[in-house]
Amino acid sequence: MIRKHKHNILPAFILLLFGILAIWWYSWEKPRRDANNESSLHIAAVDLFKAYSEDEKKANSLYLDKVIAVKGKIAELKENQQGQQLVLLSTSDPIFGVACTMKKKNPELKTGDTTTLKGFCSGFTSDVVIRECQVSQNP
Amino acid sequence: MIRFFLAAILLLSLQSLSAQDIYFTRTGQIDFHAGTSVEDVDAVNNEVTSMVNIKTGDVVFNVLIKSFHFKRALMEEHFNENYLESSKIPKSTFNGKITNLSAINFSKEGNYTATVEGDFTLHGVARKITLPATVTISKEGIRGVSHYSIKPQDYDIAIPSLVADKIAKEISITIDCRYEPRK
Repeated sequence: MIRKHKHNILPAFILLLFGILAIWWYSWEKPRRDANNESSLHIAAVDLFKAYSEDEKKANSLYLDKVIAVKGKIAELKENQQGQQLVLLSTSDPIFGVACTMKKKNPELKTGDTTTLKGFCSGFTSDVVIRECQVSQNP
Repeated sequence: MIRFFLAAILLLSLQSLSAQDIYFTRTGQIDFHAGTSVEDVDAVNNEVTSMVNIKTGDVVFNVLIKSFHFKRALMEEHFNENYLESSKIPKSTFNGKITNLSAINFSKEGNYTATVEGDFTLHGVARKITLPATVTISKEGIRGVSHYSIKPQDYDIAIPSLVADKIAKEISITIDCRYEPRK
């Protein structure tokens, strides 16, 4: 009788242990958010910049940390110190724009082209900053 | 007519002079190490905007908290949600001045030591700080590097006792900005 009882509890215990381990592992090795797996807000670079330069607080309440698909004309392309590609989308301002740091390099992007980039909005410096961007497949 | 042209030329040259005084970057880098021997807690931000006016010595930094990138998504989440509360306070700023401006010859290539004093705001708490910096003048422009360390409690950043042994008492920060003349 006792033997049988023991046999019943052991697999359950092991299962529970695995469950706890799996949850711990999942939260520790939690996958990174991917802009492609989330629904995005579509907006023109000109409008996004206007929203931020007019009322930063309000714009943050609408866009901060959201996935934004931003469409605009490429004003400048450069590389940051980590070798990541930075795409500046032009706005009504002569100097500042929507600065998008790309997840991967996209050699097909050229200054003057119009493109739609999708990433997470970090907020406003003197540019609107979008991080971990990808070229949107459905512009 | 000639006077008008002379005035126009003078105005234009003045404008170009003042524009050349301002050096700018939107890809400045700030990284920090907050780990202990128990665990590495490192993050880097490559989306720092900074401006230096070489005539007046004014220095400005705008740093977005959500642009700090950690190796582990979980750490990034804790950093943003629990410690820096970046949804409420998305930005950290520095507004200061180079106090030994005359010691730096911006038209001569080389390394210079600069002292930058100003107001640093992090997590909504403003403090006066002094940054020691190395300024390198080269053909590419101006590079400014500074090492600084902060204590989380000085900026009302609460570290729960449960993780206290995993997070350094002093967070070491490195600022590395490569400025170009602003067009």
